[in-house]
Amino acid sequence: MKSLRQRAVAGGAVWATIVVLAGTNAVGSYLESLTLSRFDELLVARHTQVVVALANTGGDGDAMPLQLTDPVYQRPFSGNYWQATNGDGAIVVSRSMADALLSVAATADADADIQSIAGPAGQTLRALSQKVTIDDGSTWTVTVASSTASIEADQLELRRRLRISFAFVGLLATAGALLLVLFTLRPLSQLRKDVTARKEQEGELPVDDYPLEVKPLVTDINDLLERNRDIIDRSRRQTADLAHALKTPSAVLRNELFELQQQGTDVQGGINALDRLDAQLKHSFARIKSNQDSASEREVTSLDVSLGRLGRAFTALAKNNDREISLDVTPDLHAKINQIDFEEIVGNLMDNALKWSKASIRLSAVSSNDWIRLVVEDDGDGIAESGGDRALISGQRLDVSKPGTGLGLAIVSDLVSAYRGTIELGRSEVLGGAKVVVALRAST
Amino acid sequence: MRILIAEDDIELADQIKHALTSEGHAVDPVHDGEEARFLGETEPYDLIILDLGLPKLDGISVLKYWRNAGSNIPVLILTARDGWADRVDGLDAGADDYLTKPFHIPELIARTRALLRRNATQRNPVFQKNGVSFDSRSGRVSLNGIPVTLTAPETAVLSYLFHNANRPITSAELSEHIYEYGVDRDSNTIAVFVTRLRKKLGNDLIETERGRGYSIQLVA
Repeated sequence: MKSLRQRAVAGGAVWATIVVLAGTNAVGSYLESLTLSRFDELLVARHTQVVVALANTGGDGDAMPLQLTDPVYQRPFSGNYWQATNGDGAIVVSRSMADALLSVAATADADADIQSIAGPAGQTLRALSQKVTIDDGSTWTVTVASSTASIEADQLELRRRLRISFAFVGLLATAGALLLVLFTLRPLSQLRKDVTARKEQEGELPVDDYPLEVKPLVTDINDLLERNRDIIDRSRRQTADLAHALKTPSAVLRNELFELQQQGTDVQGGINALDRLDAQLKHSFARIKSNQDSASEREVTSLDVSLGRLGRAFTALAKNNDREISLDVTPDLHAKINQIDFEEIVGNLMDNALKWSKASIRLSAVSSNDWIRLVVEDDGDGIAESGGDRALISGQRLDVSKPGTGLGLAIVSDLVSAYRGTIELGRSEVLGGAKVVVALRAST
Repeated sequence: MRILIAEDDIELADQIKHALTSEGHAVDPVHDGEEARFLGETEPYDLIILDLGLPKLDGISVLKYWRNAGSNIPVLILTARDGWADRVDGLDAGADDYLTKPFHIPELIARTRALLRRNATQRNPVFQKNGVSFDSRSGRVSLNGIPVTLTAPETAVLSYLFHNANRPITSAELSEHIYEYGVDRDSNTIAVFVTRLRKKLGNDLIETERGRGYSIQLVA
């Protein structure tokens, strides 16, 4: 059973059952013994009455009933009886006995003896017998008995009510256990929310906001989050260092080969091998990067900030290429995307536009319903109708007249689909060249 | 023109230096961020080639330091990282252009020329005056269509004067821009180079403004 709530409810129910059973038994037994001792006290009182009547009458069978006038002794088989027998065989009984006798075991001494016996009319009786010696010196065994039917009914009713009461208490205890668990688990639910939030943003969990018992766990989670961030940072740094360590010698080698080629040596085979190596490196680093940055729509990028940076960057680049960039961005737009990924998308699209345009590039962003439409268009020759889909495939180059790897649009396409966005290629009505429309989810 | 190369890979820095020197530029290579920051701040470079992955102090920090100090020397950044965010970081910090490694030296040279021309009075890479033609892309000089051979320092002086046309330039400024760091700069040699240039290209090309320096006047 993995759910804490289920455990609490089951545990509460088991505990409540044990409490109900034990409680019912303990309280029931106590009350039964209490009832029985009251019953016995009544028997003792009645026994005393009979002994007094016996002493007064000297065991006269006619006179005794006149002394014991309680109606319960008059009605036949009323359930209350008395009987006095002496050593000579004289037996005096209450009228309620009709012509029956109480069959009690003989008592050896003068101590009172209480026992259960079978009575007339199938009744079960509780009988008190005691040997008494009256004033005339005769010894009598005086027995009083009462039917246990009423006491058994009372005890049954008592147990029934006890069970109902304890079952109610058990239910309350189970519900209480559930409430207690819900209340106790609240900090854990909060912890889960805090941890989820910390996946996206820097900072530690607020240890002091949690109960004493959860604090060590929160501290451990903080350590884990920190270590996780360290690992990611280290991995990014190592990737960057590795890229630097591999690409710099590759550049050196390429330039050496170029020098040799300039001097007339045939090094084309070497250059081709180096091209393959560089393409493989680029692919591998792109893959490592995409593994490191998992797409999360929980992250939000402000287009004001990001397009501001990109706008300044590309304005600098456009100046080198005699291009003009116009930006038409609705202010205060926010997209559900990581900023690095957003800049990768726009950077690649603008880089392509810079490469293929003649003079003008336009970058616009508008919001429509829950989407942000990002449009990059230029005044170049545009993408041929047949090449549209191919341009989105990794490594496919539609025009090899300018340097490139054929990865740009494929990277954009992969990133856009990772964020469940869409990308469309077409022709710009305004500038006449290529037009790329990227739709990303807006954050409200 | 005087160029600073900040690149920690000594072989790559040497290749770039070799290529730029053969273009007639005076090139100072440095191999860590702190040295780059110091030279970039204290020497009058015409262009800086800055690798972002420098030891001691990273390229972005160095670039931000220069820009905050008010320097507007054109900067070409070199990066081994493929991500656009890194390039945008560099460009947003004040770089003028970028190249991702590995790159072809001719591509680097072309970018260098474009950046050097950016502050010149004209965007056309071929400067012309009084029958003299100077192609800043190849460093070739001709007089009335006939090629003229110039020494490296002569080409450097001519290039600097063309790129900074229409203003008087002192011998001291010229020597600062054609000699590498640590070379004994004798401004008298500038007069010798100017005399040789006048002999090869005609007396009217380079004007002397008394007490203010030399200039080439171009129609803007």
